[in-house]
Amino acid sequence: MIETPEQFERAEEAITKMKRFLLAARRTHTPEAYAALSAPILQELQDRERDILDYLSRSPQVASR
Amino acid sequence: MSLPATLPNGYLPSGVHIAALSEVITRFGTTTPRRQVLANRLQELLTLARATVRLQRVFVWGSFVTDKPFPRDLDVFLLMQEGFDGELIRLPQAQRDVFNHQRARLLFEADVFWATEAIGLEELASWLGVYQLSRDMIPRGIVEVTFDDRNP
Repeated sequence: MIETPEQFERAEEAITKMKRFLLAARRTHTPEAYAALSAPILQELQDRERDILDYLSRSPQVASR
Repeated sequence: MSLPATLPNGYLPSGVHIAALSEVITRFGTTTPRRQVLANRLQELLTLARATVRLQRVFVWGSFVTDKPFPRDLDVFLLMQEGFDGELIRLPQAQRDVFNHQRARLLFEADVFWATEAIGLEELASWLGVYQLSRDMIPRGIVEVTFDDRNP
């Protein structure tokens, strides 16, 4: 669970890197291979974005308790 | 033994730690029945990945390479030779299963991530950086697995 602004920043950076990896993979792999290799990454992205939304859904007071 | 001890938080120290498969199995795949099961799964999937003769590098992270007695699953990244993506469809089914997320989860209890070398060293390094942080954003080490016969 993301608890601090620093963790939030790191989580955002990680998501940016994962999206960049996917963009590179789209350019460099066949459509069939991309469909296969992107599946676990997209799942992971979804999980991590959920973590971020969870953090953003809590007010700072609640998040710091 | 080249793998460092785990930290009090259960993770390996930050960085990419290179270790032979035999060492990884001895260290992380023997202490509990659950770990023995996952170690067998890891060996099975790596045997199939190596059978493609296109496997270049292997990285493992997640709960398997921590001190948790009951790791949930395996997290593995396979870097394949450039051009492998065009051969994927012609692989024998057993080998192809390794590169299919759902099949790999079912057969090996593993999240298998993969790409070919066409992805580039910069993107690979960036990717490995992502996994040197836990989902809780705690720095942790990951393992690059080598093979005792030095032939991937």
